[in-house]
Amino acid sequence: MNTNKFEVFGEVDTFQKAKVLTGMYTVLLCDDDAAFLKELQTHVANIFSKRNDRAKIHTFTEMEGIGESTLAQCDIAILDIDFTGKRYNGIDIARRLRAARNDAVIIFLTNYIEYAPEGYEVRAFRYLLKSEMGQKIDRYLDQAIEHLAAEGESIRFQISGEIIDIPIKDILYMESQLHKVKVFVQLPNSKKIGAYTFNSPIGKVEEDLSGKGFLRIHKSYLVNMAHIQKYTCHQAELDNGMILKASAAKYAEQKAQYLLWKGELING
Amino acid sequence: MAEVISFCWIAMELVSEFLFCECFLQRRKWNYITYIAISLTLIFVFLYSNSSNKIVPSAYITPLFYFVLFFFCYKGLWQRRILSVIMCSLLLIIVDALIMYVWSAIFHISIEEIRERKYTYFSVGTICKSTSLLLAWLFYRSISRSHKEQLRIRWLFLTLLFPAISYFTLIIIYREYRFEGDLTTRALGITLIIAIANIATMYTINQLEKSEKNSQRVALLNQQMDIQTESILGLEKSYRSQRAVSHEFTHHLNTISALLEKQQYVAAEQYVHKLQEQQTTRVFVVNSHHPVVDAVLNQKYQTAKEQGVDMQITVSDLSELSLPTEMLVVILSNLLDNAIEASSQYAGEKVVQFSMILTDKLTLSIRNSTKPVQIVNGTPITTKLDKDNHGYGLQNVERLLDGLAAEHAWSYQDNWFSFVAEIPAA
Repeated sequence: MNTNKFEVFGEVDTFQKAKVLTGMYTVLLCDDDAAFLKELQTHVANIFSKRNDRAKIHTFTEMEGIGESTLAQCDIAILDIDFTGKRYNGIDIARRLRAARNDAVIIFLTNYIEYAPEGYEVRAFRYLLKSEMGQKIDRYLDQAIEHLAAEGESIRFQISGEIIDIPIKDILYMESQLHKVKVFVQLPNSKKIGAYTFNSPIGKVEEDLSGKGFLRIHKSYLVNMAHIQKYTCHQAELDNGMILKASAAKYAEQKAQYLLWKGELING
Repeated sequence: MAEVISFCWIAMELVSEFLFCECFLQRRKWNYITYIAISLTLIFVFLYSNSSNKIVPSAYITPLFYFVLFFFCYKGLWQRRILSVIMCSLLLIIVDALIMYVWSAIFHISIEEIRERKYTYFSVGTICKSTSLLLAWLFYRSISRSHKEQLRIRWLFLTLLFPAISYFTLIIIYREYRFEGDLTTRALGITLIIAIANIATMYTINQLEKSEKNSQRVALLNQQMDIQTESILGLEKSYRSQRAVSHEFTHHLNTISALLEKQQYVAAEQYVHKLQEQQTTRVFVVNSHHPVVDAVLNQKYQTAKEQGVDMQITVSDLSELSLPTEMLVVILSNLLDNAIEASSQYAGEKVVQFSMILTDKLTLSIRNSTKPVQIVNGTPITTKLDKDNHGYGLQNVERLLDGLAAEHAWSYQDNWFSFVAEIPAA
C-alpha cells in the first residue's frame, strides 16, 4: 500500500466542481426521425447557450454511426427509444454508452414512455415525452448538468507543491489515526487501493465533507456511502469486499442518513 | 441509624416509582448522566425529608422531584409522565396510610404515637415500604407493558385531576388525624373509599385507552378498504380505457388496410405518422413484471398526470417480489397518494420521484416537492385540518413496515420531502 504525507490545500476551496475541470460538455442526440433530430439539436444548443455553457453536440439517426470515441466522451445522451424498422432500440444504444462511459447522463426522449427494468439497468436519468419536450427539456438538462457536476466533485490536495485532485467517487473511506486522517482511494482502472495521510481531526474532515455523501459509521471511520454495499449495526461492507467496524450506538441515526442518501441517488 | 433507615425507605419508594413507570412509559437511552440524576434525586429527597426546617412538607415536594427525574429518564407526553408519577405516589401513600391506620386501630394509638415509638415506627414504616415495593413489582410483572400513547391529550389531562386531588386529600387527612387515635377508623374508611375510587379511575383510563385503540384500528381498516376500493375502481378504469384503445386500434387497422388495398402508400404512411404523434397517452406506462405493483403505479401515474404532477418512476425487475399483495397495495397507495397530493398543492415545480428496486432486499424510495412538512420524532405530522381522522395513512405504512422488519427514514429539506425504506427478504 502506497502511503504519502499530504497537507490540505487551503481550508475553504477544498472542493472543485467537474464543470470547471471539464470545460465543455459532449452531448449525444440519437433519433431515427431526422427532422425531429434537427429540431432537438437546435433546442439543446439554445439551452447551453442560455446557460453560458459550451457543448459539443453529436447527432445520429442510427446506432451504427456512433463511434466508440464519441461514446467514451459523451457526458449527456438524449436518446429515442423506438427506432422504426431497426433491430435495436434506444436501450441498446444506452447499453453501449454505459460500457464506454459509465457516468454519462441518459435521458430518453420518446413518443411512448414505459418505465421498465431495462431503464433501471442502463440507469436512465429521466424519461421525456416528445410532446412535452418544450416544457420539460430545459429543466431536465439543468438537472443533468447539476448531476454531472456533483458526480465529478473532487478533493484537492497539495503534495510537495504539486496539486492533485482526487475525485470523491474514488475515495473509499477515511480512517482517523491519532491526529491524522488516512484517505483510502480506489486507484483508477485498477483494483489497487492507495492511501494518503494528512494532519487533521476526522471530525473537521467530516464537517468539511458534509453533504458530499460521507457517513461517520464509527468514531474512527468516515465512509463514502457510494461504496457501501451493506450496512448493519455492527459493520459496513464496502463494494470491494472490505469490512469496517460500525458503531451500534448511533446506528439508527446513521442508517436513516444512509437510506435517505440512497433514495436520492436512485431518484437522481 | 434513623438516617440509614430513612435512606433505605426513600430508595425503596424510588424503586417502586420506577417499577410503576416502566409499565407505562418508554425509557430514553440511559447513560451515566441518568444514573447521576437518579443518585442526586435520592440525595435531594433524603436531605429534604430529614431537614428540620421544611417550609412545605416533604410529601408535597417529593412527587415534584420524581417528575423532574422521570422527565429525564422517560420519553413521551409530559401529561402521561405526570399521570404516572401521581398514580404511583398515590399508590404509595394509600399503602402507607392504610397500614398506619390499621395498626393504629388495632393497638388503639394515634399515628403520632406510632411515630414517637421509634422501633414500632421503623417496623411499621418498613412494612409500608416493603408492601409498596411488592405491589409495584407484582404490577410490573403482571401488566403487559404498552408504551404506545393511545389516549388523546385532552383525556390525559382530565384523568390527571382526580388522582392529583386524591393524593393531596390523603395527605391532608393523614396530617389532620395523626393526633386523633379515636378517629383512625374514620380516616381508614375515607382512605379506603378514595383508594376504591382511584382503582375505578384507573380502570376507566384503561377502558378509554382500549376504546381509543379500537377506534384507531377501525379507522385503519376503513382506510385499507378505501384503498382497495380505489384500486379496484382504478383497474376497472384502466380496463375500460384499454378496451377503448383496442377498439380504436381495430378501427385504425381497418383504415390502414383500406389505404393499402387502394395502393395509397403515401397516405397510409402519413396516417401511421399521424397516429404515432397522437398516441402519446398509454394506459399502462409501468412494466415492472409484477402485476399488482404495475396496476397501482399505473393508476397513481394517471392521477398524478390529471393533477399536473410530473411523476418519474424507476423500477427494477420485480417479478421475484414476494411481499403480500395487500401490504404492497396499502404501502404504495398511501405513500403515493400523500406524495401526489402534497406535490399538487405546492406552488413550484410539481414533481414526484418514485423508485422500487429489488436486490437481496427491496428499496422503496419517494421524493416529492412540497410545502414545508413538520417531522416530529422521525414521523411527518399531518397537515390536514381534521387531525383526529387523518394521518392514519402514514401510521398504516409504519405499522406494516415494522411488521416486515423494515428500516425506514423520512426527511424534509428545501421543499423536498423524502421517504426511503429497506425491506428485508422481500
